[in-house]
Amino acid sequence: MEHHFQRLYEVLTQVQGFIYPNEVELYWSVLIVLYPYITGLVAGAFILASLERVFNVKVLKPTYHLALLTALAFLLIAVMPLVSHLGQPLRAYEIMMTPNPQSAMAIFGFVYLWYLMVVLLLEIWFDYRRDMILWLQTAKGFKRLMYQVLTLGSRDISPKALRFDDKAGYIITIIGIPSAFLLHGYVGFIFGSIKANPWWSSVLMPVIFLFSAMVSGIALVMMIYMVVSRFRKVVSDINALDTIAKFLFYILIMDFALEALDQVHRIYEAEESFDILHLLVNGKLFTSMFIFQIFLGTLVPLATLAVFQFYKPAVKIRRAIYFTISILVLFGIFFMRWNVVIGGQLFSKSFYGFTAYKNQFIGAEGYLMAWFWFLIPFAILAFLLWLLPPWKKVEELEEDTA
Amino acid sequence: MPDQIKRLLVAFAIFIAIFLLARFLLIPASFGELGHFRADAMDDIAAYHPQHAGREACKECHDDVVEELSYGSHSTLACEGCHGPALKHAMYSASADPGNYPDSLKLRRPVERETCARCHDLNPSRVKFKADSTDISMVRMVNVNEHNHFIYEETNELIRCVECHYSHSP
Repeated sequence: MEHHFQRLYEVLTQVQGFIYPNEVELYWSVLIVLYPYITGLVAGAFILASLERVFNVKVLKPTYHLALLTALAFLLIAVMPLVSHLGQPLRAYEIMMTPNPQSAMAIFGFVYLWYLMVVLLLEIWFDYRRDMILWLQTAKGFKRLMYQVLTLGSRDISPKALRFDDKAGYIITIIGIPSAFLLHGYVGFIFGSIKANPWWSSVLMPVIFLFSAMVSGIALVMMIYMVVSRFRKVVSDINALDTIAKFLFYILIMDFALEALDQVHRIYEAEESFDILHLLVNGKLFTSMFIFQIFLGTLVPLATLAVFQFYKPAVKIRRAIYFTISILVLFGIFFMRWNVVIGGQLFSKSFYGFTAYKNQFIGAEGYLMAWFWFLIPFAILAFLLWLLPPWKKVEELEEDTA
Repeated sequence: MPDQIKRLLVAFAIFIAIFLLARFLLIPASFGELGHFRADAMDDIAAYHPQHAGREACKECHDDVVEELSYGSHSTLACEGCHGPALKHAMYSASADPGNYPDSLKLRRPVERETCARCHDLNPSRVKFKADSTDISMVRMVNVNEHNHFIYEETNELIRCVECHYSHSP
């Protein structure tokens, strides 16, 4: 009895105003924040890669393969936060076996598989096939075994076969761009289509998710490129960084404009949910939205990049600033996801009350778990860079053309 | 057809074959026959033994109590909601000497505060009780932990709800 009351009163202390019983506890935790964040990084990194391949921005060459491998490293664990959150890993396969065709959520398995198998893996395979065959001749041990498996026994590096690889890679990138849009637009759609939640229910949601995905993916590749260059003890290509920063600037403007449009639309419409959302934004979400997402994650990078369009400081300072900006943008977009996912569950659908989100550090859905799933892709990327180093590939290409 | 495409096609064919094999092996045989679920689950559920007897069965012996219950504000409640599942209890009384119940078949007589708290504990998300309302879904709520907080010295126990309220006709 005592325990029952203790639990009830503990829970009630985190409630303000009137709230329905099923809203007291917040079910979509930090792991569900991580899921759109990670898929966004995948889609964004891929779109940056496609700039070089399809839109022929040659100056981005040093980051092209890095962007693809980054996208793959993050895509490989994109479903893991969901599996962790659901807590039934042995049932995870069922979404592939008997998906409900009328449920948008149940289709994720196939959206994911399409993107992984048909877009990313195929494109990387065509890009690296020749190099894996060449590396196979000198590689030893585990690396050799990996190349043998990954080449699927293919040994043909005649000019005709290489031309075919190039063409196939190009076509896959063209298919890949709408697929990346599908992957992340889909994640936005999941939230945007929940009509009972006024904070989520917006047709702009998929588009906003898409642009914020591009922003975060570009920032991630920019940061990883600088870190990898530092590890390799080479100087990162400032022209590539300038160009990435320029694209980041343009897309950041679009992203900010779209999010502002969404908010302005809400404010002007001032539907019945407006009062509670107004309280939400100015209360519980104030720090994560105005300070983290908008000020640090958007306005500071935007202003800095805007200044860089007219005045460019010395290369060394520019590099340091680009690095800082990429971290700020990644931080800001994380809190954009946070504000959507957590924010949407903080207020009661009666519009008369709030609950609170309290998370543990350790535990199945704690912060430690979230950090774990966020850091694993970096380990996978380190492995991929060891197995398929883009810089070795570039050198050989130059030798070929020389 | 280029050599690498042939190899990819083989790899994809193997992948799709494994996928189809997994589907074949993992999807339960009766899945989808009646809807998006395993049709055999219906038989599994039907095979469960019922546990509850229902108010009519209680009335066979306890007609006075059931009648009493029907006048008060607890008139819509099921007997077994408080006293527990009673099928075995009712079956025994129908077949053997009803005056000589084995202890295992005797039903619960809930007198502790928890039972009342299940419905009457303070829940701020519920509509407040109004005395003049005819809406029977409105439930009187008290803070069960504090309401009439009298502790018997001899037993060190809180006074029970049923010492003031008669639960069959409150």
